[in-house]
Amino acid sequence: MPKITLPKGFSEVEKTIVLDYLETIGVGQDWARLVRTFNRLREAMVMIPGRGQRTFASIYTHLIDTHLMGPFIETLYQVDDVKASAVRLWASGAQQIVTLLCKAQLYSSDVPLTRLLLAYCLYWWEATAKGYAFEIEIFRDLEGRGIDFVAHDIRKSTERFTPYDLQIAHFLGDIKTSTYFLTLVSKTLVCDFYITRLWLSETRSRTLVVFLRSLMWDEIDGDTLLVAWQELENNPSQPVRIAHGSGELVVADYELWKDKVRAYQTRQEGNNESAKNH
Amino acid sequence: MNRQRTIETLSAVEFEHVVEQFIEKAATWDGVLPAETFFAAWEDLTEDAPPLEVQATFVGDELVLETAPESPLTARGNRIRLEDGRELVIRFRSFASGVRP
Repeated sequence: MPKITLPKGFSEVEKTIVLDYLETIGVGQDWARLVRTFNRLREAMVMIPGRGQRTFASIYTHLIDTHLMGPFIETLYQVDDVKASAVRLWASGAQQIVTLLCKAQLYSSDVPLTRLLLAYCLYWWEATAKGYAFEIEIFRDLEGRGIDFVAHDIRKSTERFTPYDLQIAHFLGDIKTSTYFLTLVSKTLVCDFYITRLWLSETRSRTLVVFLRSLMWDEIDGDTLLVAWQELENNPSQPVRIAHGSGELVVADYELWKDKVRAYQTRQEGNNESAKNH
Repeated sequence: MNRQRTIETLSAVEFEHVVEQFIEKAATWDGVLPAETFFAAWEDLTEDAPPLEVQATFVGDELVLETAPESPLTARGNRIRLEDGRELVIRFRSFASGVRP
């Protein structure tokens, strides 16, 4: 079995967070601490006798992502019901992670520290694989609505890690499940818009929302109401402007956003036509 | 005496069961968070990291440093072990030289 060196100061509290994630995955967790803990584990080091050392992040990329993500995504592209198929395929992939790590002699349930490597790989598989399934769902929906966009081809590993997922007009966008969004969140928002799904406690419903930079929302013609994010749920269908970092962000209902984008593209097409005719 | 239940103290069978249950439950969860949870976590993750705190006291003429159990730093006497493994040693010039803490 390999020798595992955890990041300096990786505490018992953080180990408890990892176990808690495995035991109670869902909405009840402290997601900020969870994300920080698994981000810290990226740098955990595995010393494999005779084969050198690798970080947890490197093992996930080279052993798990390389073998499992391609087939997972390819299969989802072939099916009609992405959501239902993703459940089955995700579980099968998770089982294979256990097998792959065992075969590579990187995990054994009776070697305690290797459990953290397995937990790390399952966490990233959970975040990324479901993130890609969600992307495919949204791509299909946008196509169905007649929205003109260019998306990266997530079947190609070279395109999967682009800093944005799709482009609509000159706007760059990203599609993420809410947990995957948090996993990659940073102070600076790279894209002009982000599509995610949230649970609204007030209406007890899942809903798709879009976060946009004010610039994009202003350009596609939208009015907003300025509120604190805590008041978002009181305005589920009304686009709102919330404070974010040193600026503002618009949060709009996905269906409304699609209508605005479609109308914007129609106006643009009209402008281009009349420019040609003159 | 009961051992504290941690990811390391679970038996192999117990841990395998935890993993099986995780896969079953996680497969059907779509990763959707309540809006309030999502925004609170987002705000938390983009906040500036709070400063690391070390408590210092004098016991006689000796400096004694302490850190909270959850701190990524560990302190012993006048030494602090940093996150990257290096040690920070605090030394005072002698009181006779006029520098009194």
